[in-house]
Amino acid sequence: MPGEGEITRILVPVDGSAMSDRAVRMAAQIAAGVGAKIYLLHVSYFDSATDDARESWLPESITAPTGEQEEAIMAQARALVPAAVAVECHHRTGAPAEQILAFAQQHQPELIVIGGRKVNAVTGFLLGSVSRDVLQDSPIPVLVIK
Amino acid sequence: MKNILVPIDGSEGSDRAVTQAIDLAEAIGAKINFLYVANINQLAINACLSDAILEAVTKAGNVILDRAMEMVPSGIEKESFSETGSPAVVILDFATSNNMDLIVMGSRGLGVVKGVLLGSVSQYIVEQSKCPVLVVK
Repeated sequence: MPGEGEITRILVPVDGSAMSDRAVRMAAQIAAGVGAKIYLLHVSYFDSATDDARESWLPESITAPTGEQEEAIMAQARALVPAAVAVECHHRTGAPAEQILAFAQQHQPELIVIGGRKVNAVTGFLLGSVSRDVLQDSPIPVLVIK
Repeated sequence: MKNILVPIDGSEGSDRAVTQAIDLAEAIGAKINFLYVANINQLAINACLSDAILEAVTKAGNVILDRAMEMVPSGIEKESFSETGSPAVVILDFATSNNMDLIVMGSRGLGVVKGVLLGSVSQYIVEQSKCPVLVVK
């Protein structure tokens, strides 16, 4: 058991957004300083299991396999972590906030670093709903990036 | 990151935030800035509060600040600040005016309402802050 306050695992949910990139960079900076490992977690609603084998009349942009997109998002995040910092990449499917919290429950990070404000004309200054839910229900500290 | 702002109110949640802030400051080489905000309206100070009351409140704040400062090991730069006003607003103004790079605070303070996981001050600050906010549970 790490000493009180010691950070050994940092969970960073990623979604390919610029805000998510900022979260990864911040987490990497902290991880480098405390010698922690980073868990990059991408949560999507669909994965290759939901891809239909048959060809569809819908456009490719909608029905294209999701695996490539997920890989790209993870690669993008992974590239932002310096080589000296240990990283693990994970993918889950389901409701984002729920999956993020479940992952935290399973892997017991001491800190979650997550992007905050959604760049959205409608929500304005409000936190994205995922960040808000994670912040609300997380039993561990949450660092909200702006 | 050079400056971490740690708003404190003497509560348990606040103490946990102080511990976390110290670990971070140590790791990234930042200065810790403790801020205590006495929830007193400026109008009240001018109009009705006697100097004795204001002095008492400030003294209580200093006790809280001194305790936090003592928790910081040598080698970490630190400073304490005491202000009056509406906590959330004062904290945000302070963060902006003093170029804070990160705010570390407890999720719940002294205003304890059972079942509330995220207090009103923390919520407000997380939403409105221009810099990252670490909410310590």
